[in-house]
Amino acid sequence: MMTREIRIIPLSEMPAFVGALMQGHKVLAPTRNDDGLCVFAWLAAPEQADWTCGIPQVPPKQAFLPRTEILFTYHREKGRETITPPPAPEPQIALGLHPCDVQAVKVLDAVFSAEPSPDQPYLARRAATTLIGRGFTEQDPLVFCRELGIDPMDNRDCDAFLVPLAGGQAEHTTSRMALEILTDKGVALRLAYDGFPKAGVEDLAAIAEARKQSAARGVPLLDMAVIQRRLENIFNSDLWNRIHEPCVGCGACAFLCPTCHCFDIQEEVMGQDGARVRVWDTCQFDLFTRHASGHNPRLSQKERSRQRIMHKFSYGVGKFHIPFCVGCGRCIAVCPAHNDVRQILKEISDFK
Amino acid sequence: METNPYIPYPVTIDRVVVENEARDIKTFRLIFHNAQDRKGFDFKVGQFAELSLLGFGESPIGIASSPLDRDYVEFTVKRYPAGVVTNELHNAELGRPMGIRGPMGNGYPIEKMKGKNIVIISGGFAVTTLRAAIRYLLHPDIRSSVKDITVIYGARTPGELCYKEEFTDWSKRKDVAVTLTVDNEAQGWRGRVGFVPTVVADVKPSPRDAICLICGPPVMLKYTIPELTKLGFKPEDTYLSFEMRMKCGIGKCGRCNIGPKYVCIDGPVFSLAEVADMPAEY
Repeated sequence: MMTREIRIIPLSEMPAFVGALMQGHKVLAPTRNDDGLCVFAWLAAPEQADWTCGIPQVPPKQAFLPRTEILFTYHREKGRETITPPPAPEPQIALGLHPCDVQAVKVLDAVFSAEPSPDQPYLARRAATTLIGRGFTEQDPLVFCRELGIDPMDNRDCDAFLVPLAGGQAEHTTSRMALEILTDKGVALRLAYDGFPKAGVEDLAAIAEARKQSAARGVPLLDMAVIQRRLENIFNSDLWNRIHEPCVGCGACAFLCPTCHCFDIQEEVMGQDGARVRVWDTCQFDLFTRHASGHNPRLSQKERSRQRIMHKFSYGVGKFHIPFCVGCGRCIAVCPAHNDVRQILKEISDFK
Repeated sequence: METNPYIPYPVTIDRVVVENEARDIKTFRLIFHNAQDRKGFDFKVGQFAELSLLGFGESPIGIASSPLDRDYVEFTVKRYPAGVVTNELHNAELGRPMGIRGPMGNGYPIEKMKGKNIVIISGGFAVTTLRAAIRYLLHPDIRSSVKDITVIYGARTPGELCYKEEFTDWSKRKDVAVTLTVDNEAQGWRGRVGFVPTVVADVKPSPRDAICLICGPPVMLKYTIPELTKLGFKPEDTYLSFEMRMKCGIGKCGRCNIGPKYVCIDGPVFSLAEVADMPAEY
């Protein structure tokens, strides 16, 4: 991607930069909640953005697919009903996304823009969003995005991108961020970044070096094509007995997955007024597929565990040519039964 | 900007017909508030829609009227004890406002059916979209576009046959061969007695140059499809329609897939050849 310009922001000045972004935008960024856990959340104050977070446990998908989203509101009287569409989404910034989370936004884009019915509520939020990614030099042990071909320093599909740079020669801790402006949406943030100095020759060299080092950390890629082909042939295999066995069906893996997007549509009613709302849902729940007649095509956790893996690594790839997994490792971190998607992929790859 | 696909067209319940003795199946005729919405709701036989009741939710239901019934659309709905929407709908009075979203899904292969013999087989309440197909094919503007039409329709009892007057009228017509059957002898019943698969074996509809549409409960499908195979119907020329729990109806919410196929957008109508390639998860 053509970089429009690069500014250098000292870490100590980041609150000032974030504060400027918050003028006219809602800003979703990595922050620590009351328990000290890193999560993506809407900032109430610029200092809440936390640059020590790795991959926050709560993903940024809520920027485009809110946990609870009003599709429309309504008023009912006897013999008469009126529907009011929600207001247009406000301009917003998703800030500090790991490149794997950016890839996850690509997955959501593919699903929600697909014909025959593009999802207007999603697309409106997406269009109102400026995406600012963030590079990482360190990798959490649970993160396996490199195995999926995602470089943690890659700025593709971002409107702007932050490259962490160390201070002096002996220092390894991040002391400043190089802000790469990549698109028109990025340029539109000029008021927020204009006060910061342009990158000098040494900065440019440091950025190039950081990218070079990241690219040099080659790892063996998972062969997603092999996994997809294998999955097509093992729908009825015993492998699923092993995989679902420890699963308790809590759905945490899906709720915290940056690509999982399955939803329910519910009514919220208060007297004569109400709203039809979209809420996160998961294929791990019995009710997800249970018919009103009582029939359920995915009757046990076995079918539901299989659906999750199939959707991510077979159906999604077949339809959109992109795996519905970005290697962020969140599901591994939160699974109470210690199910590990890397292990599952290995078992699928090795399955004879 | 795209329009919001979650906002239903406003409609009113104009007519309600109780279809069966158990009184848990009713046909609702819906009139669009805005005439141009009916034009926008440009559907094909075999498609479905989400029936929307504000405060209760939505339910995906096959369209039971013909696209050529231009002033209204009809849906035949079975009330299930656990069905929030179907219960409210069954309790609704004439004139109640509600909404519909759609049309959704692929519908029956109308283009492919042109110039062919048509065999339609159904059991019980699953007949709804096939009723739409029969109404459509028997329309004076359409009838000559296909050759012979054979219809076999069965129910447990005479009281459970839907669209009774229409089927009685169709039975008298020369341009369609209708066979009605019930599972057991019943007082006053002069039609056939026997399960649908047996009657199919008996009537022996010809597979020659034919497209077969079949909808029914799983047990009927299980025993009828082998009979059709014996008669020589090809899997790629035999179509059935799936039901599945749905929410969005537009391929996003992620629950109605059978393998990689979404019933809401890739279906609900699939040929038996397509079904053979699907995992048995339905």
